[in-house]
Amino acid sequence: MVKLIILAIDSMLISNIILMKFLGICAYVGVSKKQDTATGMGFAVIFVMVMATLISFFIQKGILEPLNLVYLQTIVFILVIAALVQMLEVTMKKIAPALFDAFGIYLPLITTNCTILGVALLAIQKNFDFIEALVFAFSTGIGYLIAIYIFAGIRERLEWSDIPKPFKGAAIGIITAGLLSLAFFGFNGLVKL
Amino acid sequence: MKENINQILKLFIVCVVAAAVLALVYAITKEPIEKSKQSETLEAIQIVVSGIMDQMIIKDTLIVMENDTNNIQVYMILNQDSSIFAYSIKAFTELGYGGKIAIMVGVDKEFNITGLYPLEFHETPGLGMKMTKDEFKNQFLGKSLDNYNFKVQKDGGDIVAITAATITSRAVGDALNRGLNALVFNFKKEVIDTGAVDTSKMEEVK
Amino acid sequence: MNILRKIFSGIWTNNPVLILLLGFCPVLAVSTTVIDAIGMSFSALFVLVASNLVISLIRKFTPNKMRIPVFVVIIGSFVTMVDLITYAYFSSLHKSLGVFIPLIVVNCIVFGRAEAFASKNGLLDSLWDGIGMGLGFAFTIVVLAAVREIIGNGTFLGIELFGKSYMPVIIAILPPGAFLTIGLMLGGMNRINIVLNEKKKMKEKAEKEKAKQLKASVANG
Repeated sequence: MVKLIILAIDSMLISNIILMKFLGICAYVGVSKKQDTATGMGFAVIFVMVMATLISFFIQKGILEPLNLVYLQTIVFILVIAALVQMLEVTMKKIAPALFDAFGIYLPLITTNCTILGVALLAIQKNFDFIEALVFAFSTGIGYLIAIYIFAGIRERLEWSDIPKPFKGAAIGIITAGLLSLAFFGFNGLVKL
Repeated sequence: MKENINQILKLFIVCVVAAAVLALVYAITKEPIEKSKQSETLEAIQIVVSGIMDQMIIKDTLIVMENDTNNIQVYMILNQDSSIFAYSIKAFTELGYGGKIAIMVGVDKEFNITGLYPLEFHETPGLGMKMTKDEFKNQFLGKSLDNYNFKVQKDGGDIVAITAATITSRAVGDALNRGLNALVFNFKKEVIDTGAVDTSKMEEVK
Repeated sequence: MNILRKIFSGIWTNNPVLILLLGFCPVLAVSTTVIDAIGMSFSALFVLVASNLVISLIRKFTPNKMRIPVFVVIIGSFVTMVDLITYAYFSSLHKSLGVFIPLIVVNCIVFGRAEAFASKNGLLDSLWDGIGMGLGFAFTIVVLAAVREIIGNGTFLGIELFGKSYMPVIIAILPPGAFLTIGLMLGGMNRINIVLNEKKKMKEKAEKEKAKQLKASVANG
């Protein structure tokens, strides 16, 4: 149990997927301009991440390994993710059309979001069992949400600041991410792996 | 409808071709990959055991400790006549700053350390990570439980700790101490530091 | 299209990372040492060029609605090939790049070029587009790695530059350093482009003036 809590804290803060592991930056820089879109994106990511990791987990253990097809891992996983996102889009259109419109192109963008594929692959690489993979995926998603939420808040304020021309837009965004990463570095040593 | 089936068929063809090509590449690379997987441990052993030669046989054995997760893996390097040439211990500790540290330790048959090769570590870059550098590692060469106290100088021992990385240094000392003790107990039937390992529960698994 | 122009555009004017803002993840993650950056560049370049070629080759055959899965399978296959080949023959590189090799399949650059260019253009154009973009990626990641390795570790390609007395600026090789350095690179590039743009505008203005004067003098004389 304690091991799981430690894993959760590690995935959420110490090895934060965006600020420490560098996954998901494209969407990070793009979506995080407003806090509500950021939150929406964060929740979508958590959902897709957990589902994708679990499904890929089963495929890996149930199909790829027994049939010695592990080398097809990359392709199979990414196709699973693409299918999942497609289903999410269709369901969202029917159930919550307003939210779907708010997302615009960001939803299909989750497919190419390195975080989802990255987490699915890492869960296998780290030899997690089912529960550990679940905790890992969920906490990583929460970490993503935290990072993107804080970031969006900062960026909203940056809109009103007087930024030198060369740094407007993505450049100052990335520097801000760097400062956030520095802040999160303080979590190092919080729990022992 | 017909158009859809046509499209799916085309996708299917692409998948089949891709799968076939990949199966081919996989078949070609399968063996080299197997070799790569095994080589890290082997490489580590070859680095830490001085004077190791190709004809020597490496046998691995497990020294079982109190609970399964604390088993210490020991590699015996044997001469052609099955006499012991040296040992290589996969020593570890949970006391690192960032958690587990695992080190491959080469030990000659008089139980002196001949080399260290860090295998797993999550220490702070620039501080604890200096444990991988020679300046820190070299102080352990030639040392054994008989002539060295594997505690940091702050704790009354002999280890010169890394500046601002006492925890890491202490952890390395712990790993070496426990590893050497387990090895010595198992192969020499003599206990040096009873505090390090619970000898009553140890058993040999050959 | 002029090949040199394609390459220059890939490296500078249309640099996939610094201008198009794509493919940040591997650039930031695999830039702690120059040798890793070079390894990553080769892998990405191979996938980029190979996928561009194949996708361009079958662009008439590819069904429109199903094109995304088709691209994914093709790109994924080349990525898997790189994964297997590096594991087999370049195992230390494979270890350094780790999960970022399979992640090339979701690298926005590869996907983006497939969608935006290779699926709509001929073989040779797609080839040079892939090479140009790949070189742009390589340029960015290697420069970033050079800065981080030199400042943060005192080495370049593993060779000690400053001797033992150098106190490395550790933050450069840590995650925050990656962000800050590339943010500065972005800012720097933007600044250079702004200055170049202004020079260009002034040049154009001057030429317009000249043309006007010429017209006026022709009309008069």
